[in-house]
Amino acid sequence: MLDTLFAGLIHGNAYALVAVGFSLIFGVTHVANFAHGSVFAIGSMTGWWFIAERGWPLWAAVIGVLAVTGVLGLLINVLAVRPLAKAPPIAALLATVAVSLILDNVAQLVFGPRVRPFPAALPTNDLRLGGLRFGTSDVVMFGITIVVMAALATYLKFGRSGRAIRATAQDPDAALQMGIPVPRIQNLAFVIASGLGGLAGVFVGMYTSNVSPTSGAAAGLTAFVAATLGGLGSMVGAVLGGFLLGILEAFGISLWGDGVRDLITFGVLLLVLILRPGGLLGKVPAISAEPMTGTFLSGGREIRLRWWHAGLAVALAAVALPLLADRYTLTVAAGVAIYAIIAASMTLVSGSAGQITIGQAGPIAVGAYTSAILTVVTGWSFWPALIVAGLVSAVVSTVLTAPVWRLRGHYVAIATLGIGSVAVAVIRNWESLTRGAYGIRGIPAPALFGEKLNSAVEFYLLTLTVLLVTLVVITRIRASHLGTVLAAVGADDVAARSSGVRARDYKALAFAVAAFFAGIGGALLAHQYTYIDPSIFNLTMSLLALTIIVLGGLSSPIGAVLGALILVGLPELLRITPDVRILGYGVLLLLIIRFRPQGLWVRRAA
Amino acid sequence: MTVLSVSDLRRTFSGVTAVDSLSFDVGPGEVVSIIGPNGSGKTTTLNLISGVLRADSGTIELDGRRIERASVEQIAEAGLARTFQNGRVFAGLTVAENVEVGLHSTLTAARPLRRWSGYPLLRWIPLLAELALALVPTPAVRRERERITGEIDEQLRRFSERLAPRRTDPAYTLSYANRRRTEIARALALRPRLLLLDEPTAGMNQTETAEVLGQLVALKAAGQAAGQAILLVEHKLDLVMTLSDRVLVLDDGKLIAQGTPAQVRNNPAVIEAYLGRRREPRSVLP
Amino acid sequence: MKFLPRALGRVLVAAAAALALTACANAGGGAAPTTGTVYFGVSGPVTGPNAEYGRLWKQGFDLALTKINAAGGINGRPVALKWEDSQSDPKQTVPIAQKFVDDPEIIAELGDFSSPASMAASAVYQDAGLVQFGFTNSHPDFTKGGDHLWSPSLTQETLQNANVGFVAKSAKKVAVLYQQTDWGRSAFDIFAAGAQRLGIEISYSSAFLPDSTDFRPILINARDSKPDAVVHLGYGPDGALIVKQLRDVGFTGQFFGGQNTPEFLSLAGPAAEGDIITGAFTADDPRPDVQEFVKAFQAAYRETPGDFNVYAYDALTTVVAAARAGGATREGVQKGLLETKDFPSIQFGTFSFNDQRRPADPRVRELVVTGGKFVLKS
Repeated sequence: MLDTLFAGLIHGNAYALVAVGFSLIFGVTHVANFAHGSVFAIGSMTGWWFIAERGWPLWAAVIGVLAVTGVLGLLINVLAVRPLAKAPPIAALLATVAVSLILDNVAQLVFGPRVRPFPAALPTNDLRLGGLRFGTSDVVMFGITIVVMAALATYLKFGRSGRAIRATAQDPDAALQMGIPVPRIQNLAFVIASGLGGLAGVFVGMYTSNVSPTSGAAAGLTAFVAATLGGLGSMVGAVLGGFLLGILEAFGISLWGDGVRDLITFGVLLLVLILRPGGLLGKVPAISAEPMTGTFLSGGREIRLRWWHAGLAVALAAVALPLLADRYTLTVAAGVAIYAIIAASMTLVSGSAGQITIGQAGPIAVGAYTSAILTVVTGWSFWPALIVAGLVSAVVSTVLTAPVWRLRGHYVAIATLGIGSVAVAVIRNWESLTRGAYGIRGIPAPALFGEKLNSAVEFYLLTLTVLLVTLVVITRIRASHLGTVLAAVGADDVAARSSGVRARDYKALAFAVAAFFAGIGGALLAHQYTYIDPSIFNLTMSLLALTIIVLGGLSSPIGAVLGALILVGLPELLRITPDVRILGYGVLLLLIIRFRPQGLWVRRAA
Repeated sequence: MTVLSVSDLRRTFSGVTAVDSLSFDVGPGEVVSIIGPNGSGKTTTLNLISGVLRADSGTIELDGRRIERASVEQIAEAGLARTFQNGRVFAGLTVAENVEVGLHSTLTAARPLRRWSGYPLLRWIPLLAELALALVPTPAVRRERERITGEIDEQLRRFSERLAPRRTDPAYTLSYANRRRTEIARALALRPRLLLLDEPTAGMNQTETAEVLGQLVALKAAGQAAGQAILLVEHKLDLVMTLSDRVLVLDDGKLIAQGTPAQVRNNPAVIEAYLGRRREPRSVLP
Repeated sequence: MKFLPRALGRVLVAAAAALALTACANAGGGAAPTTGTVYFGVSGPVTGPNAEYGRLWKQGFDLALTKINAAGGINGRPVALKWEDSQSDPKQTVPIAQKFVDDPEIIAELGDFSSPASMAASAVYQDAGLVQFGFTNSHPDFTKGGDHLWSPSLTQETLQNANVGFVAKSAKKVAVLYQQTDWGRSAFDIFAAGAQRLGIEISYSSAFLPDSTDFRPILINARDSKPDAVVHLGYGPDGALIVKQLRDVGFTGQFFGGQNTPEFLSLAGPAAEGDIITGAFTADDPRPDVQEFVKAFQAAYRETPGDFNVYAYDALTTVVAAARAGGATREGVQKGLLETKDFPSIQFGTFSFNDQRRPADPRVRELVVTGGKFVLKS
């Protein structure tokens, strides 16, 4: 019991060190820096390279890592965050997501994907407490954490520039007018925080002893949960949150096994967001500050598709393609259509109701599993299973997201990330229903009037038909009064509510519709793959769906189709190698957010 | 019966008392203005009444119904519409669509079973019904859509030369003044019992201000028959004095004077609040 | 931007034209050519989280190709591979399968790495009559999808039954930790059944996520359940962490687990000493064909070969043997696999397929880490 507590504390220390950097950036710039985990991973790998490959002593490697990650932090701010200062906060969040995709893949290309043993530059198991061996490196890590936390907290609270930093975070324009060098301070914050991330990479690398370039995503997410638990922006909170999360995880895993580890992590995140979004030590502001120049986002009107354009596109897709294209292209095209169905329905939530969702893999998984279980285990036929898959996905997603809608802006996005992960973790652990990690095999091909639709052409035409139905439904909604109301909620939810629009209800409705179609998309995927298991429905799938609608235009279903064509179809058809592909998604996402944030199919506003 | 009745309203922010024991009434057809130096709690008062902020203590009644614990949407549905200090319009929506949002709480065919909207779980019934009707509109819904178009026209006609030609333009293309007008049109579409205006002429030049004044005077006349009241926060004192039936003066969160414009103009406490004490109290207001 | 719709219209037309051209170009189908190089398709992870295994495959394949082509290829025709990077992702294995199926030069497919990735594509291969040789797919249901789906991979049935037998020699009570994937789950279920049969008590068991890095909470529970041995069912990286952390929580008993790869050994370091696993291949096997293979491998790559190199080497050798016997066509490979007995194999000496298209009675052995290498336990 004590051993478990101690193990939790040591692991929590690792979380705390990464969380501090994350919270520092949030405290200074109000940006949730999703690239922080990638910086951490680069810190680990660079530290490994210096010590194991170049033979440097620890102190020299630390300096090297601080330099590399510090510069990296500066670049992140200058290239991705600062230019979006005037944009809605979600833009900066998406930009950091893009940067994390880029950094993770560059790191994999540079260091190779192999897992490396991090050298024990400091002894890692020379000390003992109870039944547990630990090392000098862990003690040093603890010391660094406390020193850093105390130094930063004191500096921010009492130091002159520290107070300037806090002023910057609260109101950058006012701070600028008071003569505070806002850009310089934000740069400084990024450099310090990223250097801390790199330092954490070295010491956590020693603690973990296995390092790889792909460890950044997991580290970033847990650091984020720890920082949220402690209160975003608070240095002491980040450290407390880290230790607390470590202890909660250790005891949870001890009770229920390590298979529920991610369920615990994201479960904690959701509980915090629902019960006390400010975390242990943070504060959530009473009203969001009124925008200075009215409520202008970067989105303008969609490009109008003339009826004969639309007719031509449908004719091409429904007639020309099946006749002319080979089976490989048609298989890819079916994949494009499925992602287009998922993405087009997401535009109701993002463009219309103004919410970004980073966890659509959850509803997709629920739909896929519902249809798989109904057709394989219960023997239903395809069409009723498809509809029920959509309905179950809508109901489950609605129940899970119900407590989330009263949160502000990017907290909702973060909550959807948590919900997506929790949904898949539950599927994976609920073995009696879903066969857990074994997956479900032998999912039958769809059938129409007794005829099996399992050739590439037939399956493609099926997905195309469902896509067209989806687009018709979404378009009808948008053209109705309901659509106007949804768009209003997305544009300015305070003004909408003041006009008598129950914004929370409409956000939930939009999300339910999106979940319905995500479930249908998932069911179609299940019937195309014929075998599914929980590992397919991962964060990459959620991010792909999100990138598609950002590319196409957050409020444009046609844009979603275009985005799916470009991000799912083109790379397959051009056989762009998959590793560079994800790098490409990241670069594309970043470029779109920086230079054409309204997306391809939407005109710029003003 | 009074349209609005505020009693002993109080709100603090981290130790700073923004509104302190505020009490006043607004009667049907009245135009009441709230004035006071910066930081005196005027916008906070509007935010408390419209539900954007929750009061620490005190009561607010709209047409006899208690609303101090109600949500923003419920208060709007009860007949209170407002505009904002910086002019909040729906950027990507057209002028007509902006006004259409204001009509939301008046719809019945497209929004059936609304009495269940307040209950957890049950609220999904009206929501799903609304979704279904959006996809497959009944004849009643179609008729209502025509009525909506007529209503929008009526609201835009108030600002005829200004807004009517811009009916299908997206709001982000409008000039600042037109945005404010759109916002007012949207608020009026609600057919509110009480209209809250937060600095409706902020940022406008003299000509534009005069135009808005004319429209507000017309509004007052039109509204009086229906008993519609207006509660107005403004800094431009000549507008306040011309338009208002009564003026309330706040300073430091407290009500320091109320009365007709003439009474308030010469009130020494008011002068002191704005300008400080002089050895020779003089009226500096026109 | 009024010209955008027009520009987009033009783009649409251009795209349609491009599509039509590629379609005509790829108008696949038709019989396999009878002269020239014989091709096998490889669907595998060149990049992505499993890229290390793809790298090991390539080493094995290339070594096999050298030997095969030196011996005249298939009836005089050279043999070559067409690789497609799937990242072991089902979203990609399905289109790749379609692509291979449409390419008449490809007479059989090798791969993919993980069972989910392979099984997603199985229907495409089966329907087209192209052999899918999933040589690392140990999922119990993999070959059940059709008669063109083959796997020489040791099933969990074989591996774990042997494993539990070896464990029984030194332990009556064990703690078991298994990966929460199809691989780990099936391993655990079979191990547990075997344990019950042999009278071994499982004092504690827990699943773990493959990307977890801190196993101390479950290892503490394992230690406290006072087992004679701790059994790990998973891959190399997690196995290395588990064995190291196991010693850190103070368990000094026997450890079973890990993976016969250079990655596991380098990550585990000295903590792996004495670890026992079940396998078919070991580099110090005295059999002459094994030694010849090991020497050739070391000469080419300056590394000691491990399991995944051998899997790939054996897989290519097997399908080529089938093609030599049945003919260098898709039907020929299927025929060769069905009819040939006693395929040559580095792992087993020789092996045959049973009627489930899995190895019949393969011999597995006990390997122990001695001096940093896996050697046969004497």
